[in-house]
Amino acid sequence: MRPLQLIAILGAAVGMSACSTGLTQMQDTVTKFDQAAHSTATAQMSLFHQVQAAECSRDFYAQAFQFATAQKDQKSDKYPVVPLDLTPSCTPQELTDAQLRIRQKLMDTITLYADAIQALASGTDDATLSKNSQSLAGNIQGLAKQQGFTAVTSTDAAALNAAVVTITSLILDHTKYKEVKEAASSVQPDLTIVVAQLKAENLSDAAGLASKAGSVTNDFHTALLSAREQRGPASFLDIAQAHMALPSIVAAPPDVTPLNATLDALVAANQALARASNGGALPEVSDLVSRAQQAVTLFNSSK
Amino acid sequence: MPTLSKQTNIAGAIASIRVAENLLTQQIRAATDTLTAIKLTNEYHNLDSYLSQLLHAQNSADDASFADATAALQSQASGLEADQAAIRAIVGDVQTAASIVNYITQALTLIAKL
Repeated sequence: MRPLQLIAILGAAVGMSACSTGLTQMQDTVTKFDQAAHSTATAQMSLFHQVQAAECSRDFYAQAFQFATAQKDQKSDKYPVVPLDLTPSCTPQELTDAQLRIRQKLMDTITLYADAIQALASGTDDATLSKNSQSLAGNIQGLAKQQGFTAVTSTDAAALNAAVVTITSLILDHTKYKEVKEAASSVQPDLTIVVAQLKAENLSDAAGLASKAGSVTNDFHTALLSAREQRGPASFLDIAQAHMALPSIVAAPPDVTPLNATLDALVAANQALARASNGGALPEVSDLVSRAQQAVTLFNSSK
Repeated sequence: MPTLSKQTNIAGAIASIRVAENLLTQQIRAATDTLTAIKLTNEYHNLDSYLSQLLHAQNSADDASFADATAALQSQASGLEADQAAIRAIVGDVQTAASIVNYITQALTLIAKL
């Protein structure tokens, strides 16, 4: 073999290897992005369920407080009838099941998008996105076309619905994109809108959760005041019991800042994918992975 | 679909009620008389229940449910006004009572615009 031929073959081999490494890096980075998007969704859903559970707990203890603090009628010397159901069934009214399902669809929009670009990075066809995912994406898109998503305050509802339509269009037809970079770039403004909405909802939820935690804690505090009046130093034991019981009754309102920071990291990671040609988005995606893991731990532990 | 300005008004009302609740909580924690604490706690319950309805309205995705939710909120304005009067009577510190009443007034003003 002539030296020039050898150099050419070696050069081609090195080039192919570099290309393959780049592709593998991109696949690896996008896989991490996808997993982190799912972790973020897990933490987000945990918060939604906490909102419902807190309402049920608050309602029970508000009723119990009314029962316990009912005053005897001075003339009849009898207590008024105050209902107390010790095993109540709870149908959340603040965040109804229907409203929760809509929120879940907003989160699904993000995870399905992450799945789609992962399929794109793997070079596989639509078959990798299951029929269920395709069906869900179509369902979400239908809802958005009917203006079914409501913006809290961060953005206009029409813009939010349009953003969901754009993202779900990419999910349903991701093969029209040749590269992850191109797909990520095309949804970046829409992803930013969806994330801004989720962040605004989280802040409202935090206000609601703090209000309910305050409500139950106030009930206990007032009851302990009464216990002290009646039992004096022995009320110390009531205080100790309340101290032990309260954390299991009402979860401390979660700090949504880490969850919102995770959502911001998701947008930043997507922005990095939109700019990077191979594994260059790894720092941003690693940051997202780390934040998403922390958010899952935080929100699952505060259930 | 609720307009941006309506959603902004709801968010403002939520924030005002939360501040009023926090001030009430301070009064409950500082109370040394059980009956006063019970009355203040009941007032807190009323505000908390109203806040839940505001949050529900905020989550409404269609015009019909939003209209229902806001009509329910507006129909309870007189109840909140009664709470204001009760808080004035219960809270010993006049300035704090005025602050709480003021935040509830802000919420009522925003809700009237829905």
